[in-house]
Amino acid sequence: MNASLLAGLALTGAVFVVLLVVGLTHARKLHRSSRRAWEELMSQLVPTNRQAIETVALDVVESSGERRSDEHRRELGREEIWSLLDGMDGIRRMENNSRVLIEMAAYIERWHPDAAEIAEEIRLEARKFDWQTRWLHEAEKNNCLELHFHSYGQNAAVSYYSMVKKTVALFQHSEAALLGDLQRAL
Amino acid sequence: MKLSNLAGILWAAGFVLNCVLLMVLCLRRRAKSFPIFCIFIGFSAVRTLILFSLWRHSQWNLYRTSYFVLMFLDTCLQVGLIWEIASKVFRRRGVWAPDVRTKLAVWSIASVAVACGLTAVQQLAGRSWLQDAVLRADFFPPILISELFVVMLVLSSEAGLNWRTHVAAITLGLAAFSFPEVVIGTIANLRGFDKLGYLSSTLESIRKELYLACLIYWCYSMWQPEPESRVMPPRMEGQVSGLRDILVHRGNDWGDQ
Repeated sequence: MNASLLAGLALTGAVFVVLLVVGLTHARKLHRSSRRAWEELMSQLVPTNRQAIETVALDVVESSGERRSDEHRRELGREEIWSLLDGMDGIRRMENNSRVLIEMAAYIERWHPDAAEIAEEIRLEARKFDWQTRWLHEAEKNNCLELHFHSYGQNAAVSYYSMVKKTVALFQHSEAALLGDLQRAL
Repeated sequence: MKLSNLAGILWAAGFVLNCVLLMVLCLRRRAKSFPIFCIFIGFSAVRTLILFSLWRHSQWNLYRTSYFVLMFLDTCLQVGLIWEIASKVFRRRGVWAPDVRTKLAVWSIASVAVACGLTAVQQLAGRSWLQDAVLRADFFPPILISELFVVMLVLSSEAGLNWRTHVAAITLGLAAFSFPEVVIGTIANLRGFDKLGYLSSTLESIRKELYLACLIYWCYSMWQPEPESRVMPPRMEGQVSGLRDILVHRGNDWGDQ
């Protein structure tokens, strides 16, 4: 075998193995996620300081989710935001719950496909949250968290707040659907 | 060239199973949901019929031309099928998920580039340019489909998007066929048709048997209905309030949307 033949073979083999490993890993993840029981999802949620997250979020947005435009917005200082959100520990707890909330939304969507719209909104909000927290992790790695935490942390809190509100709305939707199913059965 | 009994049976089985699958798709009214998949299956049946007839009547020149034209159309349809699957997974209610759209486009272009690159670096052992062209044409589609399949899996799993049962079945069948085809294609490229001898016909048989297995799997899964929406079990009702206790501050507007 000549060198170029071996190089071509090695390249094809490497791409094939990468595709196989990545494909199998993610297929397994998707499969697991689709089989996850409701109780399992519930057990993965960790308590967060709800009042504090709400305080941080409502410093920027109205309870409707609209950005505040009044003069009293963004009154919280850097230290206050850090302490209310419990720094990166609090962010990690929110990240954990965000992942669970996406799975919960997907779970409910499987049960009630008509709830797809609100499930998609939760998913998109979670992606926004992910984006903010990714910056925070980068800042943590580069030892410049103090500079960025107040802005990205606060925006992450807003996304989390919005996500939780939408999740609750989704459950209300599903409960209504349950009621509808019950009425039809009766 | 005489066709072996096994090759003849595999060819006939492919045609019959394609027709059965097409019938299943029509009877279960899946054509509206998966138009490209239906066209792909219909096309596969017609392609088998055309190539088999030309082979039987020893129309070698016409066979070669038809083989390339049909191979090109087949690749286009497979890419179209990937697009159909992607649109089912990533395009909800007529809109492509905004967080995935750009990534999907970029990774799809990258996949085409990688597939072209890998096809170009293959050291082909064909005896003529025609054999080399056939080897390359056989190698390109499965590597591209495998790549696009993995791109879709990764993006959907990262974005937390659900796969509906039928979409997952079509994709799984396509992947189960494409991945081994990459290996078969690589072996064929290494040795060339003529030098492979018995191995060549064995590889060709394995390729066709895999496709038949996919067709049987598709017939079964496309006959099954999508799981219906179910009633939420009573235990979930209680846990909804549990969820609120964990996530939502009681007495404020977090839960009052």
